[in-house]
Amino acid sequence: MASLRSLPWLGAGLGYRGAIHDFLEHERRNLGFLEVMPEHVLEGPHEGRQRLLEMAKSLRVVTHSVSVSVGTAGGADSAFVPRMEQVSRDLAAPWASDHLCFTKVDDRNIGQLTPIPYTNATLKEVERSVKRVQQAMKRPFLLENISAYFRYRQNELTEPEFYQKLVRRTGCGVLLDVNNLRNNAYNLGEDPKRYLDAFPLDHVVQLHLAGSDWEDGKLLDTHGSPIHEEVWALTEQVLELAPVKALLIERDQTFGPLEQLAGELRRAGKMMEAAR
Amino acid sequence: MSLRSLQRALASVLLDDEARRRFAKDPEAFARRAGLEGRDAALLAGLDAGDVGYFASRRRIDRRAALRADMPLTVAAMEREKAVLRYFRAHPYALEDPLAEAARAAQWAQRAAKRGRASALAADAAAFEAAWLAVRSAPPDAPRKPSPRPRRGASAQVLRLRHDLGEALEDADPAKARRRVCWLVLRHGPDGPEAGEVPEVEARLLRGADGKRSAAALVASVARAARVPAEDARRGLEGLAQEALVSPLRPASSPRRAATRARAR
Repeated sequence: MASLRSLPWLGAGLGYRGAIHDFLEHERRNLGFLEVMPEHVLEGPHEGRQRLLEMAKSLRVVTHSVSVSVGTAGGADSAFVPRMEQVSRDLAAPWASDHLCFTKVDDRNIGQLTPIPYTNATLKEVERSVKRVQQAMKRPFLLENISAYFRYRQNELTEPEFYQKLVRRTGCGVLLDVNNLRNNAYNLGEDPKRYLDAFPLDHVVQLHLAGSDWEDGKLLDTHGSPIHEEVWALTEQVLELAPVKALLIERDQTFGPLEQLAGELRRAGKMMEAAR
Repeated sequence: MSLRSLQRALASVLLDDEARRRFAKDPEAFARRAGLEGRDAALLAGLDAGDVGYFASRRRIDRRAALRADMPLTVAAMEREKAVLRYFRAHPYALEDPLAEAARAAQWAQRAAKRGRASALAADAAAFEAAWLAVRSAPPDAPRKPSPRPRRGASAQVLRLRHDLGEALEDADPAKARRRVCWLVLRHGPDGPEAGEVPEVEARLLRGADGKRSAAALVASVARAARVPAEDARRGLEGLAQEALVSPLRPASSPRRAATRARAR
């Protein structure tokens, strides 16, 4: 399997969403890559799936899912992982990713990226789970940090410490969501810079940037707003320290005005080029 | 095993209103009743009930994305009038089956439109997209035997909409819908799911083709309701049979032929 360092540099990209198919076609030359959710390929409407696959034929693609659930006690979704690998293989994705969280318990779908406790016992469970996923996947597997809206007071490790130990033990990569760092900082009283310093930045392969909205006094990763300047500034810092191969602008709630999204894509592309 | 128990207990707090109330009232007692001990009990009981409640309510963010994936035009139309949040408030938790969730959203939109709390366009979009999901998930209609009592294909759905949604559906853009009453038939045919506009008479015939009424009774009833000559309704029914939208027509047995058949047995 390819080491994280030898993975191809992809530049800036966007996530495939059927609602912006035409826009993605229009922006094709500015797209370094396309991030595809295997769930859309496996379960999406037939017509939409065909359009997605047609576009994916001529672009570099990485896969990013929400269904692996590496944090579930007893292991990740063993039925989903081979299907994800199949999609990743079909699309020639150099890596695949999901989130460090749990979304399923006893086949019950919680429908949310739910935080796991950062304890040594959980670390052992997740380590086993990630290793099994890695065995099933024929490409590097990355884990993304989620926006957490609650935390376990009895955590034995911080989130970055948990990541540090996990990547050392499994060799998995990190998909660092810079917006989630900022959200956690505001919602849970953490310092984003402290997070950046403490994260295993040498394992960061991909970044996610998104917009957030204030709602009920909380900062939500709605993926429906322009990226905040503070997130851009944090991204600059990450790019100085981490061997980032791909930077994704995440948008999947409200897309318009699309000129704004196009502007963010170009800005991200320039940042990636400058840091290359 | 203990992490599993903790996750089970937390899942119930997140997904079940009553469990969340019990958790908020006394987290430690809740953890005990969930069978948690030691550190696991402390992990659950130590959670801020307000934060957990907020996280549970945040499901609507993800839920909106899921609903948008299945019903893009509906969500686009409802977002213009802030009706998505009203729907989520009316039904705080998504149904696990996306078809059931879509059907419920469509029913809500219909009722909301009647009360002026959602637009007719949102209701039309929801009706179409929910029906399309159902048809797409249904198996292709099997060929039916000729019958004197016409029956529509198992997957077929008939909709009366107040908007022509053709272009709007293509781009998930409510602005491209045109006000016009149209009757649509959706079905999972031999070549896959399909939807098409039909004349009102044929739509009414399809709706009435439940396999219980004779062709003659159905034709007479639809001709009366649509105020068209019975001959037009009869030709419409024959056309539907030719397109395999209803079972092939077979003349009803006359009492004399039935008696002859009975003697032959």
